[in-house]
Amino acid sequence: MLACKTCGAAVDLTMSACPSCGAGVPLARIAALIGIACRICDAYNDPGAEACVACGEPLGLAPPTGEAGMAASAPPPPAAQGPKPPPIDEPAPQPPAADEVPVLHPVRKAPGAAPAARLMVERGDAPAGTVFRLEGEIVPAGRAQGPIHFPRDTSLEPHHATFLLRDGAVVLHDEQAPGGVYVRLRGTAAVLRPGSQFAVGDRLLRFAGPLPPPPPPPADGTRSLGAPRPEGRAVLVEECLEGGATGRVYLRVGPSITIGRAGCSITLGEDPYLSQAHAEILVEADGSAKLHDLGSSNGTFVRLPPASDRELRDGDGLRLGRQVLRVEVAGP
Amino acid sequence: MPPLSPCPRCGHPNELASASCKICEQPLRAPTAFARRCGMCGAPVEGSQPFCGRCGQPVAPASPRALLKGMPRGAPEPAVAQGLDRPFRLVPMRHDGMAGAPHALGPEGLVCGRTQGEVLVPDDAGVSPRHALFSSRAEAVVVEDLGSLNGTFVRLRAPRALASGDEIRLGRQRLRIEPHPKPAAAGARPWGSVDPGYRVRIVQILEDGGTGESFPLRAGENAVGREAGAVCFPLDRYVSARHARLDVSDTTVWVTDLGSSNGTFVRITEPTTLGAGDQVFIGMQLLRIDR
Repeated sequence: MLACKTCGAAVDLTMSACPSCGAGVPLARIAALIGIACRICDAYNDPGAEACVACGEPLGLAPPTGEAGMAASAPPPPAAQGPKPPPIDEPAPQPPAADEVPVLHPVRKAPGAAPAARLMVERGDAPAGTVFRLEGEIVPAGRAQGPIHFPRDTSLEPHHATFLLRDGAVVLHDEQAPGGVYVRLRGTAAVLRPGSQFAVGDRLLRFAGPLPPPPPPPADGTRSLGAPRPEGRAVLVEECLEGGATGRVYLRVGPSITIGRAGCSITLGEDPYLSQAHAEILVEADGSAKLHDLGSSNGTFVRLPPASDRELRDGDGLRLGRQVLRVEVAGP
Repeated sequence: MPPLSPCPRCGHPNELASASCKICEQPLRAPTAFARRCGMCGAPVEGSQPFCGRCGQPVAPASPRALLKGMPRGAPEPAVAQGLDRPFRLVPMRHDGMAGAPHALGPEGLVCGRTQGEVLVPDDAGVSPRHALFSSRAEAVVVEDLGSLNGTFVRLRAPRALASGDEIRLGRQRLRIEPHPKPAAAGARPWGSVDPGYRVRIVQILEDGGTGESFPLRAGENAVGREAGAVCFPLDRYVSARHARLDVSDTTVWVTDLGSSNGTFVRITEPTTLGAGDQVFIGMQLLRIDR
């Protein structure tokens, strides 16, 4: 945490001026150039944004001063122009744990109030912009059942996932379908464990973990020949094909492994929904790995653990099979 | 394509400008071209050049007598015919590319190994104690793997069909051909990347065992090389930019070397007949069949 140079009060990067004495915070200049991460939900906001595009919370505490005027001259992000949903009353925002995706907000205390929520098709079998309203407390989704069904998507189970609307929140429940449910990364990094799957563009990848150590050598002292083993934090990343087979397997050395359409460590080639540099895997010295989105146009989607629940916020992206959806949640 | 002339010893098509055969190192120029030698340093002087190419000393023009002396007596025999009565030899190639001391091959054969046999490679841990058996039979050499850990590989001189389980070596890579895994066809097919019709996959074997990368291949032509292609090793400097080609059909994979510098080698699975100029790779030791 930074301290104000004038009065010593605690300030942070999202403040353009000290809340106690009004002196300017120098690093706000950096925030004005590289953007601001929301303190409430960790979503990334473009430079000059005054309210978070994801949760609507104001980003700075002090009114814009001379230094923030530079930020105000930057074009405001398009998302900030439309009518924002009123800020949801959030009693105690918890910062996410350092190495975990923030899975759930604290459950809001608004008993009985079902939020007005709907799903909008971004791409898939239905035309883009098709809207499914989430009505009722339990809304199943899949190939064959319920108000949200995609009969032509054979990659979906008949009952693939369930939306639960309770206590003013929308919760997505994974029904352990083999294809799984994917949620778009927003601002934060996702921890990758061996077997973690994630989608970039229309490609599905699996982080297979660190390269396993070699088997013990044979007794006669002969050394098994092959390509040299890479030194350092070598990990395996596999492409998962439709139906579950493994395609290309990449052996790459960290700490940074970029994934994208061209010029990346893992170059996946032409895909209209893949950005040139789309996502990045950061491998730590102990072999643990995190996945970041590199500001891609269409997002990076991480698979939910089987049978887990995940609260959805307004603007969250989802992938069920070939269907890419966006969640819209209005306040109660 | 530059004009090619076949090597008189092994038949490999070499470029006309080559001084020696790319495969067996047989000198390709006519002996008259080197009839003169520099009086100062002894280097051969080509044609009617007035100066030595090595030391710059002026060289006297060749006298007709000297030309006669340099030429073989009588009608020049073809080199292949010259070699027919000679025994085959097994020549270990040193790492600087020069030939080592040759071993004469007879019908009783020579065993090559790290600790046992007639042709010893003591410093190469990739060679098994008893690795391969070379024997000379009726105008050919037969090489047989003696159950070695890393196998015996023969340099590719013509396109060859490979089956699942076969191995090839190129540069520092050792690759195995495997069938592409077919998913279970029951129930919903989980979503994933589109399968463009992969038939086989090429698996990279790492040193000390284990596998690394894997390259699924579609039917048709697949390039192998350092710069581009379906099977690409950008960090392996011993792989040529365009090294080999894999033509995949339903059941077989044809491998063709595209004139690579260091060659493409195929692991033998049964006793294999070789001729003069063939090269055998065991461990990191290259051996050449000569006569």
